[in-house]
Amino acid sequence: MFSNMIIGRYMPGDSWIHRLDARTKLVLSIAFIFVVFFANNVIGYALAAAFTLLAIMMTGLGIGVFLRGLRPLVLLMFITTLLQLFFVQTGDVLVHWAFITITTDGVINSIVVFVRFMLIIMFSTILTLTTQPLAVADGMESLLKPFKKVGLPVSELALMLSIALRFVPTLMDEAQSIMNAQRARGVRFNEGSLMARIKSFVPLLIPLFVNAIKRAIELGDAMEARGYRGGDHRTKYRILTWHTQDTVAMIGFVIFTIALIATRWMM
Amino acid sequence: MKTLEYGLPRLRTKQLTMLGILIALQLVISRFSLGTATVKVGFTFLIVGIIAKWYGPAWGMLVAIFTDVIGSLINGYGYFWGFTLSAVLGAAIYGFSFYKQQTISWLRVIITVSIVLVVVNVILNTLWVAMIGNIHNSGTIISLLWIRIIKQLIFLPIQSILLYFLLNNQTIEQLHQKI
Repeated sequence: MFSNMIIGRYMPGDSWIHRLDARTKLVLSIAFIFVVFFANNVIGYALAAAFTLLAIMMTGLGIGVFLRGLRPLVLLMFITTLLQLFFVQTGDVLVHWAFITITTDGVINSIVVFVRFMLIIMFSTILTLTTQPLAVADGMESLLKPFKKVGLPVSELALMLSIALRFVPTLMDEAQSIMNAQRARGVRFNEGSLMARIKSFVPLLIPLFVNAIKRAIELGDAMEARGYRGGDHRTKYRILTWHTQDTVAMIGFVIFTIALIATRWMM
Repeated sequence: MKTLEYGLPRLRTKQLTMLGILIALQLVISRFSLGTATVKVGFTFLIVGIIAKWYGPAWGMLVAIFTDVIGSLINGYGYFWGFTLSAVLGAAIYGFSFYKQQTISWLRVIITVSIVLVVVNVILNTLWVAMIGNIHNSGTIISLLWIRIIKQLIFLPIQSILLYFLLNNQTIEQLHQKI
């Protein structure tokens, strides 16, 4: 029932990438997704792949960890790749068998789809693996500061996210123990027809919600008792600092972007 | 017809903590899925529905952005902005339909779920997959669409039934009065 991924798959380490500011990693992860779309030929994709590999090497975590992150998406990647193979009908015919025609363009296209998927997923995984979830929340708050002027409740949002990230493991354990408790009383998860399985989910869902509400009430009371009166006008205990290496990372990324745009005119 | 405030209402402390815990719950529940590899039923729409009912479209949309971003980061999926847009739109549709409704009728649930499934899951998500994969080929896109349409037809009754019973659950509503 649980997918076998560990939530907040942060892997402690002390690599150069680990020590980067969370804001840098956030910005670069998001920027990379837009930048990948500049690649439109083999050289461009090779460059993007090399850059991603370099970043992965620098985390010092080994490539196996990253490949495991691809597992949940394998089916989606597989289907789209196959569809490309069968439906792109331009270029030279390679295989012609009954109603299936595979062409050179089809093969090239499916490789491109596959590579692009891989790169985007791998690069995003770098952020999760090397950054603590709380640091991600802090980084987001810091990046969103300018939006305060538009009326976005930034500090409230950051507080919510901190609470959320703090409670994910707790609620996970709770879900697990409710499941075990219901199993002990004879509820069978993962058995029978789809409808029966969905019905078996209800005895898990309602207690989860009830517990969540009770927790929220208790936490709210405890926070007010400690003098919480709203998001603004508070000081910070965890402070993000910008180092030289963050500037270096940014400059490196800009150089990569320029190089990638340049590859468009290479073929 | 009640007049509703659809802007960002100021939240009390307990509402803030509740929303934070709901986000956590959504991240937890996103790990559950039922069914086979081809038809996977997720349950996150339940949390989106509850947030829509209690907090309305504005907060729902705001929360959807962050849940999607953090969820994709935490679960190790690649992030893509299109799916965030899908999540925001879904939250908005649920929000406008469920916000501050005492009891939610079958008709309302079914129509809302249908709109979300067609607009978000069929049209938008196929578009994103096509964009990520750089697919310009109409044949491929139409096959992807068909796969999705069939899936969503299976989801429609399942999602409607679950949403109806959860959103009208008296135990949860009575507890929520205290917040």
